[in-house]
Amino acid sequence: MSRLIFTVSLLLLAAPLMAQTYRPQVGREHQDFLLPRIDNREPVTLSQFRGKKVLLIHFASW
Amino acid sequence: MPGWHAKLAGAVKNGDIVMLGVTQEQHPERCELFAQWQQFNWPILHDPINLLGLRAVPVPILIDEYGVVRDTRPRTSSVDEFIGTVYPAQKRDVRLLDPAVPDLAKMLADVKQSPAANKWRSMGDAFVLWGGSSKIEAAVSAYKESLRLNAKSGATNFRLGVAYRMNHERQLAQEAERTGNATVVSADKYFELAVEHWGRALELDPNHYIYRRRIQQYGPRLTKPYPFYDWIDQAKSEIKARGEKPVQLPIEPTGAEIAMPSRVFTTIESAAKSPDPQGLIIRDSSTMIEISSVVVPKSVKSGGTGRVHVSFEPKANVHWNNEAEPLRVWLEAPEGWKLQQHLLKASTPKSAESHERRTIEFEVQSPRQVSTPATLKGYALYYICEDSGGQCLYRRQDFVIKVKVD
Repeated sequence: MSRLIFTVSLLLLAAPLMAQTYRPQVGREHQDFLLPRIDNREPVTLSQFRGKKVLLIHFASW
Repeated sequence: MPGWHAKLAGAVKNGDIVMLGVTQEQHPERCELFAQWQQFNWPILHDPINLLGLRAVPVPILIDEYGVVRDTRPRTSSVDEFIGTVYPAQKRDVRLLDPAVPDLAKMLADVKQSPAANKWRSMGDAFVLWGGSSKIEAAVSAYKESLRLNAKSGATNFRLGVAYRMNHERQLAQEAERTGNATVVSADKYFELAVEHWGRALELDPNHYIYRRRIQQYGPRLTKPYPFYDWIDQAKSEIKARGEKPVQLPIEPTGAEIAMPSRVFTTIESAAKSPDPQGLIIRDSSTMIEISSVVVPKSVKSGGTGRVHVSFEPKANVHWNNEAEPLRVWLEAPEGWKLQQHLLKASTPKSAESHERRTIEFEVQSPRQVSTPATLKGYALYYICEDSGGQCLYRRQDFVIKVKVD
């Protein structure tokens, strides 16, 4: 039984990592992320902007 | 993007909203130049490996003060309402990340202790994002280990392709700087592997536009939705006109990356003649120029097109003679296959001599019914000089290019 609980716990922990598609849902918190800046300044997390309204825009220059 | 920037410039200045960009492209400097050109004054993050799992761009998202998503398809006309709305506080249920760069050694020790496909992929991600160019080989190894445990991951194949392309460009930079008799390693092998893994990612997830775009960036004009980086010259000149120095690009886009899309396969110079039809020019028997090629995509469909990238790299002890005629390439295709061009010339620097890698690109179209790979036959004619002794020679080198078919 304890092995089953351990396995299920592991799967639950792995679930966010296995998620491959970006699907933010209205009314739910946006997943936090950490990425480098294009200008090599300090890396940034989304959660650093808590307390402010944010327009998060995914794009490419092409 | 410029529309959002113009709309929100005042609100950003007043502190009513923050704009945060995430760019889905291989080269951060190109986006940095774009941002300089457009005068974006907000932070832009780099996600070359599609860590966030986007399937297409652009995607704007409105997020409130508590990190809660409020609109996934906002319009510029509706953002004022978002700014003016007071949202209720929400209990936090998302794990917040430390803004510090991850400890790569600790991550590696952990994944080695309890290996799993996802962990190895995360390790590869960390090497790419935080390890700098010296960790790209390590990223490749980590992604390969992840694929050994789960070969059917489109995301891991895509990311391995990104790492291989980075390795290709790292290799080119090293070759450009090399001196003496360093061993020439063909960087194109890495590019070929990048194309292979991007192709595999797309096979596993054919509707994934981020994967598709990365192949199209280097692929034939018939499959391109837009030129990708044709805006760069205009951006540089307008930035200079403002009295600023444009962001420097370590890898300038060329060939496929700036070519205009086309709806039809066009051939030019159909009347061109082989410059050495009888094969009289002396062969480059010591292979002073190393020739390699990559076809994008990795295989061509029946009636489809591929873009062929061919590189010519002088060995360490020779250099190009630029006072003579430029490097020329003659190509022939098997029956039923069409070549965009038979005779091509590589561009030549203004200096009298140089040692750079030269490239040509051309497109090829397969017949309607095809099941066997094609072999394109070609030869290059070039003027090359020995560094010591200064003997200059005119030489021919024959080569073949294999084009796989689906």
